[in-house]
Formats: sequence, structure tokens, C-alpha cells
Amino acid sequence: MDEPTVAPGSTHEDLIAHGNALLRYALARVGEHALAEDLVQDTLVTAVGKLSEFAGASSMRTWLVGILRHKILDHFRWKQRHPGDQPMGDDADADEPDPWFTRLGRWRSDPNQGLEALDADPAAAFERSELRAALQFCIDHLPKKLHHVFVLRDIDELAPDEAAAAAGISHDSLAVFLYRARQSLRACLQKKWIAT
Amino acid sequence: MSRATKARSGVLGGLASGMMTVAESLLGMSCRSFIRLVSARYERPLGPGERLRQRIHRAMCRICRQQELRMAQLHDLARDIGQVSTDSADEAQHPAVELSPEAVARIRRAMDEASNRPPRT
Repeated sequence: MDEPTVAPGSTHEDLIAHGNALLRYALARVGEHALAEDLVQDTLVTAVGKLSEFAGASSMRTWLVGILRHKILDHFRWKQRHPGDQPMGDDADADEPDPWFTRLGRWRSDPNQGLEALDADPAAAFERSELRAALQFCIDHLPKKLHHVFVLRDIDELAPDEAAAAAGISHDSLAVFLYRARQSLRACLQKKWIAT
Repeated sequence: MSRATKARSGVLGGLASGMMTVAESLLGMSCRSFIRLVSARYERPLGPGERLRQRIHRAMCRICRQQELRMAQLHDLARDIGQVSTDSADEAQHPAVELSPEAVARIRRAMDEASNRPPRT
């Protein structure tokens, strides 16, 4: 997607042009449309006040996402302090059977097969970007609830307390959802790499 | 291999696998429990008992040893994504999501107020 860059004299419309992307970013993290819209509004209003401070060192999108990220973190902190004000999300059922294991808890198939690509040197830029793209594909296809907690915890690196509060779930459920998300991603990458 | 040898090795194999299961249940850790703890370790420190049982299972199970390493590699890769990309990530999950015209109008008004412009009509 073309990313408009900030030029001196940027207008409100230049900022609003990023509104939909910001909304998607917020929605992936807070999971509630009306709240995501409010956060976008807060972000753009803050951006208006700071436009003169924006040096153009990064793209406007990156700059706006940086502001939005702070707004989202503030919201999560508020939510953590006021747990009673928010409906809790669906907690995980820890007894749900695990598709990757037999009844006795042994692996159904080798979970490492096909994952050799992960050994790529972190400094090898091309391999690394290929790996990221593959993982991104799998993250995008996670079920919504797993996607939500995985983004909060493993991508945005919120503390476990913050991530649990943000998703409106207990600590135990957070652990269960994250375990499922991580194993689903492992299985997805295996499928992708073994098939190609 | 004679039928008798085959039968014996079958019995021995079954016995060995049975003993593994007994050992696992005595030591309290299956592959499933091991890998759940590998994941839990990212959210909380493990207790001494959990660490001990993990250590025993790790020593016995090559597949889980390797899987633990793969999980760490995946974890690093996800952090990498967080540092590199800021926007494309969310489009696939919420492809058709857009601000409603009412929201855009409301945001315009709020931005005008913030910059002391006369509100639009």
C-alpha cells in the first residue's frame, strides 16, 4: 500500500487518510469497533497538536501508529485498574482436547518436521524477511481470539497482566490461549513449508 | 526374523513402551505437559517441581528437546515482526473494516476544535 509521507504543511485530511489503517490496528488489539474508533479519534486529535513536532524522520503512518500505540496502552492500563467496568471475555476451557497429542499426551506426529528454515541466521536479512512473511500469514489466519492474545503478548510484548486485562480474560486463560496460538502457528508453518 | 523372535521383540517393544508410560506418569510429565510448560514459561517463572520434571523429560525426549528450541525461535521471530511492521499485519484480519462516515465527520470536528479552526458545517 502507498504510504503518504509527511510534508511540511500537512493538513487534517492527510492525517485522516490514515484513519482506516489506524482503525484496523486498534481493532486487532482492543477487539471492539466503537472503542477502536474512539482511540483513532484521540490519536488524530493528538497528532493535530503535535504536527509541528513531527520531523518527517519516519513515515506519517509509523508516527501515527506510535501515538495510537500509546493510547491503546493507556486504555489497557485503565482497564487493568478498573476490571469491574468491563465485561470479561470468554475464558478458555483448559480441558478442551489438544489436537496435537494422543490421549496419553504423546505427539501424534513429529512437531519439528519441516521447521529447519527457522535455523536461518537472524542476520540473514532475506531469509529473515521470508520467515516473517510466512509467520505473518499464519498469524493472520489464527482464530480471532487466539490472534488477539498472540498480538498483544508476543508481537506488542505487553506484560502478561496487561495482556490478560486487555483481552478481558484470567491469567490462566491467557496461558491456555497463548499455548494454543503458539502451537497452531507451529503447525501452520509446518503445513506451509512441507507443502512447498 | 523367526516368528518366535518377532513375537518376543513385539512383547519387549510393548513392555518398553509400557515402561516409558509408567516412567512418564511416575515422573509426572507427558510431551503435552512438557510443551505446555514451555509455553507457560514465557508468562511466569516455573516452580522447582515443574523445572525438575521438565529436566527429566527433556533428558528422555529428543522430540520435545527440539520442539522447545523451535518454540524459542518462533517467539523471537514474532518479536521481530512487532519491531518491523506496523500496519500491514492487521489488514488480513480485518480487511473490510473502515471508519463510518459519521465517525469521520466526528473526527474532523474534533480535529478542528483541537486546532481552533471554526467547525465545518
